[in-house]
Amino acid sequence: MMRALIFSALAVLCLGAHCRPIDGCVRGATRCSSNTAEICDADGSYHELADCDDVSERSGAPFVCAYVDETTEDGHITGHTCVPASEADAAAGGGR
Amino acid sequence: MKGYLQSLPVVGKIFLDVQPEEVWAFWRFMQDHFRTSVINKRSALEMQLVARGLEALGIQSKDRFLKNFTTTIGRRIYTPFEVGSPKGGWDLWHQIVICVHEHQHVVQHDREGLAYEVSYLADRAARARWEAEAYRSNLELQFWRTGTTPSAQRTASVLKDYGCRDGDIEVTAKSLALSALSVKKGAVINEATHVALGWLDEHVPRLRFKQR
Repeated sequence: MMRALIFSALAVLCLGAHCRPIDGCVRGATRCSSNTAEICDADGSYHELADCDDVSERSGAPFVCAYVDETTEDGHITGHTCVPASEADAAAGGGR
Repeated sequence: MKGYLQSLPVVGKIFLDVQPEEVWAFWRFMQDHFRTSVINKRSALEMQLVARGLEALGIQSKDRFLKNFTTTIGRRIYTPFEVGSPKGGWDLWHQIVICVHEHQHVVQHDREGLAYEVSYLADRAARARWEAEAYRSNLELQFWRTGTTPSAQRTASVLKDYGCRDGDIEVTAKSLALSALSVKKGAVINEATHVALGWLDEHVPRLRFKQR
């Protein structure tokens, strides 16, 4: 019984902290996984940045995960994030 | 500074952009929605113990932790101010913003369970991730109020106070910059922000930035 408890506690700690498999990605790299934008953390693992389906629901308009390359007050920003579907469609159309 | 000015007797009213009763009503709404409680940080024995622990570990001074940081554990939110009473460092709008930030931590607690608390304490990259998400609410609220977003780099740099590494701060800055792009295109990303904006739009629409 005691051993089971210890193993359970360790499993919880493990799942919560360090024992997640490492993706080996480059820090700050981004990607779209289905309709979710993900970013690579300092330990080399991808994690959710934003679920664009949830964003669509909360924003009252369709958003999709897409690559952006823009210059803002934060500097030159490139990577994947949620953008309005209309904008993504227009960008795809313009690239054809 | 603004919080200090708002707290001055008689003349303080000049500096009020939000009324104390509006701040109080907003917190009450968020607490009811997310089933949370608010506790004064200074009078909470558990926070005194945490503060002593952090000081002993050399992470942060006891006074700084108790005065400058709001802390959420589970559904209990420990504030270094009385809700609706402005004071130095805690003006009334900032009290609204921190309410949303802390409730996003409650959303994380509900979504991830114990893994959230454990990874927050044990894993610096995870802590940076949880805080990046919560600080996104600050960004979303500022956009609603002013039509601008705060500097991603400056916001991310506060993670030094959370024991995060330069690499964690770099990723957080990028995450916030990408989030800011979405927010400027009309996205509401965080659940706590979504709930908060519903109330703010209904009760204090005058505070919302108007496009010219």
